[in-house]
Amino acid sequence: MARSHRGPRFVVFLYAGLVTFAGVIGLLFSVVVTDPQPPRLLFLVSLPPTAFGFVVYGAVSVGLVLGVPLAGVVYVSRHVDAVEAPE
Amino acid sequence: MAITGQIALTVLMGLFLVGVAAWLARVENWRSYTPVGGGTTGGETAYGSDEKPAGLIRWLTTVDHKDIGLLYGAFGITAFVVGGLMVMVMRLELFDPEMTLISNTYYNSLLTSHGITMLFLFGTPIIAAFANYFVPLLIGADDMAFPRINAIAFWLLPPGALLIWAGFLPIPEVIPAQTGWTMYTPLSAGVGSGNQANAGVDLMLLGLHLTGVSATMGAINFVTTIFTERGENVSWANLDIFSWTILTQSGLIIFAFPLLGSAIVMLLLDRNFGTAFFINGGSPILWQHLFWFFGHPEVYILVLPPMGLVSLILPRFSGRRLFGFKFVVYSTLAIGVLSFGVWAHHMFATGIDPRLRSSFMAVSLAIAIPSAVKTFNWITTMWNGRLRLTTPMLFCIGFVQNFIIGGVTGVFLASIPVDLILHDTYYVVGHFHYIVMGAITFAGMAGLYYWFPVFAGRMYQRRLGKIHFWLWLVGSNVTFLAMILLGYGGMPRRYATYLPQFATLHQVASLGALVMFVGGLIWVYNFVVSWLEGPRVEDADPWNLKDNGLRTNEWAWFERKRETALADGGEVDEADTE
Ligand code: HEM
Ligand SMILES: [Cu+2]
Repeated sequence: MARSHRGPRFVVFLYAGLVTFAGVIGLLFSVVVTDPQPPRLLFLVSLPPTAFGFVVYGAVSVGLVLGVPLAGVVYVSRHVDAVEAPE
Repeated sequence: MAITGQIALTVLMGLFLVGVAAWLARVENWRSYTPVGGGTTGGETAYGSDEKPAGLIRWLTTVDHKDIGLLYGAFGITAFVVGGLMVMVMRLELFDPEMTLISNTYYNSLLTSHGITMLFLFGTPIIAAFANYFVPLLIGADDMAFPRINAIAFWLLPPGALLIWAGFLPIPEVIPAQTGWTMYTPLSAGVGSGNQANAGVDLMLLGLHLTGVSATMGAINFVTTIFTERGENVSWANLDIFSWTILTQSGLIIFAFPLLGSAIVMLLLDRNFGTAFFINGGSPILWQHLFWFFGHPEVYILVLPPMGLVSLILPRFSGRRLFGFKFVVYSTLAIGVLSFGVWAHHMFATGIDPRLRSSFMAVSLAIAIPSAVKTFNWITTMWNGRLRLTTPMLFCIGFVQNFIIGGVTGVFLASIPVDLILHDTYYVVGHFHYIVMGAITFAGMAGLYYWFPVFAGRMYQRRLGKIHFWLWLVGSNVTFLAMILLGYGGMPRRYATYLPQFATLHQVASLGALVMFVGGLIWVYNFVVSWLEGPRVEDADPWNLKDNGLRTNEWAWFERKRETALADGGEVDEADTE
């Protein structure tokens, strides 16, 4: 039987993987698309249309899109999850 | 002359059918299958497995939900292999920009068939396999509410598959359809100078119609079963999550598939009898509305039960109950309802009324919320759990990962300005493959590995299971990420040839597909060898679910079955390997 892993470690690992993935897409996007427009982080901050700009754009956007719910997960786990849901 | 020939043939076929019926009536005593007592005695089937006939006859005549589940499974896996081989040929062709291995038209045929095979002959049936085998066990029912309708529903599938694949068989003058799985008119109506007026397209449409009838019959059966056949201690409040998703999915099928059937009949009429629904002055866009009114619910028909599988299996290996069970059920129902309100997001680029477009955009964004709720609950379940990374668990986690990527890329497509740029590019192909392969098929694998001990009575080789998972996780992400990037670069979908600048990404995608192919070979090898000579399951609780109080009804059934089998002289062998 497989040994067991602590949940939080594992989930954070998954989160980091997905954020990295978004960064990689940003990086490759700058390679694949010729002459892209400069991205605007959160529709606000203008970033340079370079590999760096797209990596930051991808990673930060997805980091937030998934990070805010993840913070919710942490909160809910601490305060709500004590009461077991019926199944 | 020709007429008499045909009459003779018809009479001959009639006699043949009567002969078959007579033969079946002789070899089979149908009455023996009637469940006595109307199924209120609980837990007992009226016919023991020793009453089943042996060999092939058993499988041709069975009305036992477990046998039918296995038939669905065998059928679905066969279709998966066929569809997989088709796509491997396509990916080989796409290894270089020119037309090399196969002709462009043959590529189109494979493309069409791959999509239809995977969605209608693998996706829906493999879900029906799990549902048939396990829903009655999970809800404590004797069998399905209508066992014979259950058998009929399955037996419509093989002829359906033959019709769908007919174009590839050596039949003179019949060529495979090249319409794409969406069968857009006017191409699919056979107009113009193309070759899609060929009978192969008609046969495919008829085959699709059969699979739709099959799915509808199955769905009615599941709804009735879950409503009326639940055991005494199974109430709505403690109905398991997988049965909930099957119930919702069946509802969707009942509303969506008959519509597809009607649209197909209209198309057949247009093709063969000169009606004017979609051509001859009718509207080709009408087809798209009808098709996607079915088509978008279809994607949820395919994804809801896999979500149910993950919701069932993931907590078992997190050592705790599913977090927020109620909300998972509510979001299942919400998705079921909303899924009928988003179809036109597939038609943003067709020039429909912009006001309509934006309302569909709004609903499409809204439907992401219940999906996000589920993901939230899976993650929270893991967060407070202790994870055991068995093969089924790995596939569940792979599901969550790929579903997030597929979902996020989908939300972008739902935004009209983005869609107008990415529509009909490889981005769309990448998006939905993250879901259909990366998520749905992964969940199917999780189910197959999780319940392997139940239906095979033996254990698979764990190492090979893990290798399979990692090859698929890497392969699917390499392939579908390359597709997303191809889409950004402007590569249109559905082409056998392409501009040289796309070569590298296409080669990467083909390489990823090859990695998945190797994973698939290992999976088939593992399942076949383990089924035949894997170590017998010695314990009715192979996943140690009892420790955490997480055992569900089907494992309790498994334990009873093993005990009774031992008590009456150890027929485990027979019952388990067949
Ligand atoms: C949940 C499982 C999902 C599945 C199985 C799925 C499947 C598919 C499929 C098969 C297509 C391509 C259809 C074609 O051949 O043209 C597609 C396209 C699309 N999907 Fe999804 N999808 C899913 C989730 C989502 C989500 C959550 C969204 C957005 C909220 C979404 C938005 C779209 C859009 C807008 C398109 C059309 C893109 C275009 O053709 O331009 N999908 N999806
Ligand atoms: Cu859709």
